[in-house]
Amino acid sequence: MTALQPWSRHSSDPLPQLLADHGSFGGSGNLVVPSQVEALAHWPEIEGFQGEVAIVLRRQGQEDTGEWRDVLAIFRRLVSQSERPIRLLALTQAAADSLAAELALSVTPAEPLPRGYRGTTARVALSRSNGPLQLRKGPLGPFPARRYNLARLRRRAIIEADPNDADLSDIATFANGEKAAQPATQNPQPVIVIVVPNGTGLGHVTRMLAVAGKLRQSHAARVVFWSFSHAAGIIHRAGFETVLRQTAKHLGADLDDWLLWETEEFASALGHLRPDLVVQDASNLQHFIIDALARPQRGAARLALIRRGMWQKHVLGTEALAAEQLADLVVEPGDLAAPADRGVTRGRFERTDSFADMAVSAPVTLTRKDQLLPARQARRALGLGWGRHCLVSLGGDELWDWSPVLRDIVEAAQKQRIGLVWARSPLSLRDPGFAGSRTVLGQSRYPLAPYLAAFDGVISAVGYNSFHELMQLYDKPVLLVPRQHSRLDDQMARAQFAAAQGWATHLPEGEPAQATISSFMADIRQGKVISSRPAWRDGAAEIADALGRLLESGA
Amino acid sequence: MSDAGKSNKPYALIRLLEQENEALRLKSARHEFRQIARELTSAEPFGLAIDLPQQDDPEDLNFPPSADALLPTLPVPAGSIQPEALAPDLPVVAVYDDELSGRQLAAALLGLLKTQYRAPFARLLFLCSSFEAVPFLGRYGYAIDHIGRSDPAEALTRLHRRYGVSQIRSVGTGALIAQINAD
Repeated sequence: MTALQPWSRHSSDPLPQLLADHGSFGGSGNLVVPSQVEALAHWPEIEGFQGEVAIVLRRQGQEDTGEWRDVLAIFRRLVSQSERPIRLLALTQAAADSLAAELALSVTPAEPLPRGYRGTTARVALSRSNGPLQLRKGPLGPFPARRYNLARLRRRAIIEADPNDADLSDIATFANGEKAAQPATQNPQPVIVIVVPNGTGLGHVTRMLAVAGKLRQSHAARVVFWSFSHAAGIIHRAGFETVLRQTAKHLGADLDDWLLWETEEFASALGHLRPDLVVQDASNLQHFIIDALARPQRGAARLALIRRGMWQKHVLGTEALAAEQLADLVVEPGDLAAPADRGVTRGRFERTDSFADMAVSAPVTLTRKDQLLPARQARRALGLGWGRHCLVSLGGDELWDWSPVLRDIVEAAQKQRIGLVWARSPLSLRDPGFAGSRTVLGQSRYPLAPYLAAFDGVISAVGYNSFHELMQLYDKPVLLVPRQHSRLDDQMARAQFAAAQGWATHLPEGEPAQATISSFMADIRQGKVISSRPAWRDGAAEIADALGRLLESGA
Repeated sequence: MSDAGKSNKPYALIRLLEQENEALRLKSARHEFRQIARELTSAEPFGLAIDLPQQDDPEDLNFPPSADALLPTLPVPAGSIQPEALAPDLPVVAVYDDELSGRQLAAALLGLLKTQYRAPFARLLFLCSSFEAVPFLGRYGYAIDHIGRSDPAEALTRLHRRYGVSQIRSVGTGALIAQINAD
């Protein structure tokens, strides 16, 4: 491993990112200094270093000629006076010749990197002509380069540089590597870090457990979860290594302070795990991920964002959409109600002018069709007796007061002699509000979808996971009860779409619920079956395959 | 009504709101504590019925502490059973779960939280060897750190830098496991 010193950790120079990706500076006892400027700044440490030292000399970049020459002259004096052996390197043969002539010292070209990009004609152009390093991808940009890791970019595009900046041109040539160079040993088991936020329920965790299972099964991946969700125990039980994190909100911490820690500790985890891919399931990429990945010695991990659609139509999502310019891949888990999507992400998976590749999958469910239990077995497992039973799954109660609807549900169920089973989130033990009713049973099993056949009807909120489980894995009456909250997806649009297709009934906004609920309970009593719902498709496998292709798309 | 009477009216209203707020905070904290006690004395505290295919227990992951000395100390929340902010001079204590689980862990936690509810003696950060109590502790607003089966004393340096933790104690006995040397 290249032993770069901590001083290059926060540097705006992209070369340390590439050096960390270089297999030939092997040996943990080595020190590689990425420029003559760094060497001057840290000369006492270099003199005192116990292992082998290599200094990468750089041609003139943005500094003026006099400044560049002065630094080289001082550097030459220090090297000449030093008694310790120091290897002087340059990034290209041309740079080595030029610097050797300037210094009258022996300078050799660093061993080239193996070619990073494969089968791509995409080009990323680097420039410092306007000050800080910026990059463009075709007509896109400029983007601040400090948010990207060049070791990652070189795997997805051919790097070009401003021809008037000799140093940057050397960096670009070095980044592109050579076909003949010895390729780094491929890790037979890709390492994937999945970041899951602490959402309002189990949506993110459930979706990513489905994808992670496929990555483990079909791509032999080692999957590690970086979990802000308190459902970390569920992830662990599913057999995945899990790092439990705390949000700034949970700690009551200042966001900037918390970000410093999260970036530092995520970077430490990246250095330890050396992942091939980082995936986040969220509406936006979090800053700590971007900042940690841009640090040198944090590997060249690809970055993917799993971002569901159906945003509320009033949510602008300006920053979230900008995240498309930071990731390698953005995948939208498919939504059966996509034609009713009124949010800003609608149709973005079709875009070809984004920095990230865009894709859409079939809907994702954790439970597969072949995992559904037959009705009798499911009822027995849940301890349900004879008679009709209706599952009530209205999600976490933090954002919504269900009490007016609950009263109507309990009354209508009693009238039709239907037992109610309240699905409790494994994260919540709060009283659902009708615990006093004798007809109500509690159920906090996870996942509950394999047991759906136990129920003669379901009343459900319209979150992504419940909706797709019910519409693809269940054939009895469903009453959708949308929750409209800015932190949630557009549940009303989803419910209306499903109702228009004849897949379910729903409680229309602002209208009395009693008649709808009574009619729904009557359907349950009659044993109604809905046969028009769409067939189940394996969206998790499609996302896992898209991530697998991303892993294979570069060296 | 006199001018003086008029100008006092808004302040009286604010005072009344303050009193009502305080009463509500007390009620809310009492409710949270009763809920905690109910959960911890239930037949299956922390019980989760998880039906996922059986997998081998994954490895615990612990990373070396950061070398960055400039990172700020993060706050440790008081937990929802405290009606008001804890005194700033209370020590930050990490409470290790002693690898207990189920009713044993619940009983130990209840003993500790009872004391904390009546007379708060520290800011508590829970150091968990398993994920069992994480949803419970998170629900009541406590800070949690998962260290798996590693030696809790090894976590002290990191926890001291991150949260200002001064000592680690056992949840069951209160015994000192490790502490920062004041020198």
